Amino acid sequence: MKKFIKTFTIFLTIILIPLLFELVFLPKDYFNYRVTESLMVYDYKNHFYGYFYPNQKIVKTEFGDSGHHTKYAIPKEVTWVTDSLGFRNTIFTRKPEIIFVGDSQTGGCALDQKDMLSELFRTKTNKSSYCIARDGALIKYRNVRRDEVIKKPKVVVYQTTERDLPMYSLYPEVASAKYASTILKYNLTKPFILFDRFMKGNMKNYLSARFSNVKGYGVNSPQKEDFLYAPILMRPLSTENIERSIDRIKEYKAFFEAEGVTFIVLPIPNKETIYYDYVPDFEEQPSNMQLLAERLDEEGVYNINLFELFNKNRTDETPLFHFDDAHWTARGVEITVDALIELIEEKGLLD
Amino acid sequence: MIFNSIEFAFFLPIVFLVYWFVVNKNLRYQNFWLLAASYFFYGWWDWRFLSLIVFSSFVDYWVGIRLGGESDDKKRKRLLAISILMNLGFLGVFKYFNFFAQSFADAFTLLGVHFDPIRLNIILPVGISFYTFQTLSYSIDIYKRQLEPTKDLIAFFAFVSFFPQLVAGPIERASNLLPQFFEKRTFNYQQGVDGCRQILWGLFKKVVIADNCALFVNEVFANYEVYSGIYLFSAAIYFCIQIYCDFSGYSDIAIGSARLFGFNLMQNFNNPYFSINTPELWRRWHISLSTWFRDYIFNPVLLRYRKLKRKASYIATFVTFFLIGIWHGDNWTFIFFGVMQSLILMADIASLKTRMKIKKSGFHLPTYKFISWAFTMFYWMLGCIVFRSKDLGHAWAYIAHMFSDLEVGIPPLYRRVVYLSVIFLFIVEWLQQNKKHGLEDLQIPKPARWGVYIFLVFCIYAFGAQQQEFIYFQF
Repeated sequence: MKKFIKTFTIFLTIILIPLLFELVFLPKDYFNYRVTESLMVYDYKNHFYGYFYPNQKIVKTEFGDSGHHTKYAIPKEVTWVTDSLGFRNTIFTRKPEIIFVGDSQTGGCALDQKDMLSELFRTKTNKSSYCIARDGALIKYRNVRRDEVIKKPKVVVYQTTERDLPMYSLYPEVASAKYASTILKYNLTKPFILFDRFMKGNMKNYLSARFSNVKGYGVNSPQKEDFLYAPILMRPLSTENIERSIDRIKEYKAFFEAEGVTFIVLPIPNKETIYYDYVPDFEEQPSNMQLLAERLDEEGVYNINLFELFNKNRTDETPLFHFDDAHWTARGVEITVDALIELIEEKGLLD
Repeated sequence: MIFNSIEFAFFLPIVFLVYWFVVNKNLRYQNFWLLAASYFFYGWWDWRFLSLIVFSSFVDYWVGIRLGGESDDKKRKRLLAISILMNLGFLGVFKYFNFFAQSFADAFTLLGVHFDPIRLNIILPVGISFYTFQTLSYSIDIYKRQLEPTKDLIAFFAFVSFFPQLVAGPIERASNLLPQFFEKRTFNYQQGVDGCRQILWGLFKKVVIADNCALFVNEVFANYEVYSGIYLFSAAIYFCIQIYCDFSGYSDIAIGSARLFGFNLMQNFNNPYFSINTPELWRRWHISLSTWFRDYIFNPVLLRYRKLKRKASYIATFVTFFLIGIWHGDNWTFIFFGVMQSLILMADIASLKTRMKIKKSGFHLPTYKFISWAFTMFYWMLGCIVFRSKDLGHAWAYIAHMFSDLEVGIPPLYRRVVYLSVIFLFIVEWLQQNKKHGLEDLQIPKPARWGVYIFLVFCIYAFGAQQQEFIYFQF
């Protein structure tokens, strides 16, 4: 038996050495082409409030999801900072005036920290803002509000992307972040990050992807070769989904208003909708996002019509979306923030 | 708890260490520990179904003791009937009730009578077909006076629920497994190490090959209309590989795990895809099931109709494979799969003389073997399409589409990791044909051997696809 235990231990040690080396010595982003995967929590439902490992800072040159590992990948210098809850915020604010809830666009994929929606809004207005973002972020909002780790804001900006419309219906119950408060209370963040990284297996994913020659999912535009569009993400808003989206948005509005929070919806058009003339699938621009904005106005829902704004401001020199990524650029964010400030000031929503 | 889960990675070493270091002095303690571990293992899915195993074990334990002490044939028959009715009754209620009720209603619909059949809103207890057949064989063997009943309650319960083979076999005979619960067990280094190797080989087959194949197979079978014939053909081949690696992988992990505790389970697969005819394939595929049916169905039916000579073989073959089809599940696809197998086996019996003539006529033997192998695999592939389809209509449409849109060309290879690992699998299995598993007694220097093990662990770690349940759990 001793011989068996000894042999097995030696074998296990040989196998675990590379894993331990990765976990202990290599930077968290060593095996990723962009930061979001490096910091994203694998078991995000349970361990932390946020989507990312808390209290982290990474500076990296990253590449777009549509063009990574191709000659069309464009290097981007980005800094990522996460707060104690695991959301991407430079400053942790327990009583923010405005909270931005949204997907990876609000989460700042392919953006430097200072160019994120919430950060730029704070810089420009000096109002305290907070970002709760990545996919399905509303459940995260409900978690932090349920446990009162973040106080009620005056305004919530709910961002969604055209391809995800209509949004999911509101779930009646919140059953997430089961252990988040316990982990915070007993300061168990570091061991949980280690455990989560072990489970996530970035090295494994990297090796598997490289062996299988995985590349960005973008397709070169016939009109402009370095513009990559993503067929798997195109999904323009269909006519039959306009009313469904309106119903869902009204549902969300009612939810926030019941809490005493002003609701602003921010639907971002797809990159392929704005640059439709670079996408061979479209003969004309899909324009249901315009109809959606008009319907939202009719229903009295505060919203920013980014379809109109982006069409007006579209240039190839300072693009609104990265050519090698599905997400918006700092220029796209800036236009949005300016419009948002205008709306908030006009309506006096943060007074 | 499934073998390819993180829970099992913690469960197995804990059970192993307690077994050999804490309760190793006393056989009864060891058996009790195995029983407790097995119930925990099974209860991880749904603890409520433990009551079924406990009840089934208790009835067969009681029937066994009564049968052992009874000499009156009528009473013995009655006791055996209790065991059969209980075991098949469980299967009938939990596995087949809704199927038969629906089929009954469908049959009446054909006659113009419409009614809604009663349906039971219950889920299928995992592994019920395996442990009920195991306990059935215990009662039948005692009835036939081929086995002495045991009075050791703990050992018998541990035999029924032994966790390595509880949910998907091998379906062990009491005559092989039960006596091992009464033998003093001392740890054997070679057996332990080889058990680990077999677990590793099984995990490789399941996690790297079967689970990766599943991604392609699931996609193509679900949307077969949009794919060309060559894709459908590839997906059918991948499914043949998937089901083999899934189930033989499970069996390897089961046998390897049992060896860590000093138990030897029967071999369940013996390189079936190297078979040159269907009878040989069934001697190498799911051996524990096919031998069970051979001993308890085929042979008795053959004996019953022996006066009919060759026809008796046809009847026995048809009945056996019809029941093997039903055993697989509550779907006409499984029954049709069984019937397909019986037809080819009957054709094999019928063509025996002709084939012997061809062999003796000086026909080039390797060519004959190759043609025979290719035909066997092709027919098996058609059977697998039926097996995998959601209903007979789906199977027919899939096969029709596959042939109507079949153009000559290179079949899509899907992911590099899949086809390379499949090539690796068959090379290893070819070289290790006379061994019980792919890694047994590798005749290469120790560093190279360790290199192979580390390479396999690496493949499991790096290329393991998203965790999928074992196909045979549903049976």
